[in-house]
Amino acid sequence: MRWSWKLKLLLFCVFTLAAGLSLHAQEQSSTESPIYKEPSPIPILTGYSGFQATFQPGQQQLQPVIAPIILLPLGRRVLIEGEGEFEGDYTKATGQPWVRHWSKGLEYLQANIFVNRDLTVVGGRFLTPFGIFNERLHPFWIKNVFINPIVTALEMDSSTGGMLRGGIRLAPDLNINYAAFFSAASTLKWADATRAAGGRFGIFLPKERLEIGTSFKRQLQDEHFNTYGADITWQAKKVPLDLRGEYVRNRLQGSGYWLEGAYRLRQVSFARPFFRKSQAVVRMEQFFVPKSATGGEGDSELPDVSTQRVLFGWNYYFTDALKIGASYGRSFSSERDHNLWTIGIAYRWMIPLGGTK
Amino acid sequence: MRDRTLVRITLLLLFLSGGIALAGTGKHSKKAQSTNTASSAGPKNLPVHTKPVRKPIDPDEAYKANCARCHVEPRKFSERETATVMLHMRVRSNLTEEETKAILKYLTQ
Repeated sequence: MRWSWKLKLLLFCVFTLAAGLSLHAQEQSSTESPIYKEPSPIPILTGYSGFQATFQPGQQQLQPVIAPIILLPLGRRVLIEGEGEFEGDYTKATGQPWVRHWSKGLEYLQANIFVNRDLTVVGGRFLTPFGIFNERLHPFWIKNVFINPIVTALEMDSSTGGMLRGGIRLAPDLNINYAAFFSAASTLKWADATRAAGGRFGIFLPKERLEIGTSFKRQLQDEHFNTYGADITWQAKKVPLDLRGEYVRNRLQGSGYWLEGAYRLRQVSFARPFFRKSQAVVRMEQFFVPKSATGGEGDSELPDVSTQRVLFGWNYYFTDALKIGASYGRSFSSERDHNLWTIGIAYRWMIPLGGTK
Repeated sequence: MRDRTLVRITLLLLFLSGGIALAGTGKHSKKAQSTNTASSAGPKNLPVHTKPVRKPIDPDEAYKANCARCHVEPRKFSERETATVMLHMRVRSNLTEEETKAILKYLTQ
C-alpha cells in the first residue's frame, strides 16, 4: 500500500477543487424566470423489488430481488445517494435438492457535487461508467428483458474512488457527455472493487434521439488489460420503437454484442386497453470466447464456449411503476442448443422523507 | 510503476476537472458580462448582444428524448420529489444542466 498517501492526495485535491468551484458556481447560479420558482429537493427513499423465474432444460431458478435507494440532497448542488441490493438465488437441477443463496451488496454510495453546468464531481462507491447497461438499464423495472445480455458481465461492476462527469450542450441539437473515473482496489465482501481507470464518452443528438457512446477501462491490478466498448441508443419518433445495443471486448474474457428492439403496441387497433400497455421486445446477442478465456466478473457469469442467443419478450405495464414480463429464448452453442423461458414482475416504489409541499 | 500510473491519473483528473471548470465558469462570466453591458446601457441605448442568443430547449422534447430513452414515462410526483429525482437523473444519464432544468420545470409547472 505504498501509494495510499497518493490516493488520499488525489481525493483531497479533487474535493478541494470541487468545493472551491462549487462555491464559485453558487454565486453565479440564478433563477432563470422571475415567475417560476424552482422547487427545493427533499430526501427520498426509493428503489425497486422484483421476482424472476427462469426455466431451462434440467434447471429451474427463482430470483427475488430488493434494491432500496436513498437520495439525500444537500441543497441544489450536492446529492448523496446510495443503493443496496439483496438478491436471492434458488436453483434446482433435475434430481437434486434446491440450492439457495442470498447475496447482498452495496451497488453505490456516492457524493455528487454539481460544480458547474459542465462538471459533476463524484466520490465514493459508484457504478462503473462503462457502456449503458450498468449505469442506466440494469434496474429490474427498467430493463426490457429480465435476463441480462451475456456480454454485460464484462461491464457490470462498481468502483470505489473518484469520478468526473457531465453533459455539455454544444449546439441546439448536439450534446456531449463524459465520465472519467479512477477506482482503488477494495476487498470488502459487500463492496469489492478492482483497481482500474477509464470512462465513457458519448454524443447525443436530442432532435434525432440518437446517442452513440464509447467506453474504455483499464484494469490496474493483477494482470493489466484493457476493455473497450461502444453503445448506441435510438428512439424512433414516428413509431414507439426503441433500439439499444452494446459491443464490449477484452482480450482475456472475450467479446460480444447485444442489440435490442422494443416496440410499444399503442398502435394496435383492436383490444386497445390491453395493447396500449404492452410492449414487444426482441434481443439478439453473440458472445465470443477467446482461446485463453479467464471467465467473467461482476453479476453474471460468462459462458465457457462462444454462444449466440435470441430472445423474444413481452412486457405489460399495469402502471409506470409495476410491470410483468415474460420471454422465450433460444441459445445456440457448440456445447448444446437449448430453450430459455423467463417470467417476472418488477415494482418501483418511492417514499418521500420530508414535506412534499 | 503503480505510483507513476497513479500520479499520471491524478494529474489527468485534476487537469480535466480544472479545464472543464474553467470552461464552465468562463461561459458564466461572459454571460454575466453581456447582461451587465445590456443593463448598464440605459433606456436610450438598445441592449447590445455580443453573442447570438442560444435557442432555448423545448421542454416537451427534452423530456421525451431523455426520460423515455431508458424507461417508461413516470407518473407525476410532488414538485420537491421531482426536484430530487432530477438531481439523481442528471448524474445517472449525464443530462446537461439546461435539460435538467427544462425537464424539472416541465414536470412541476
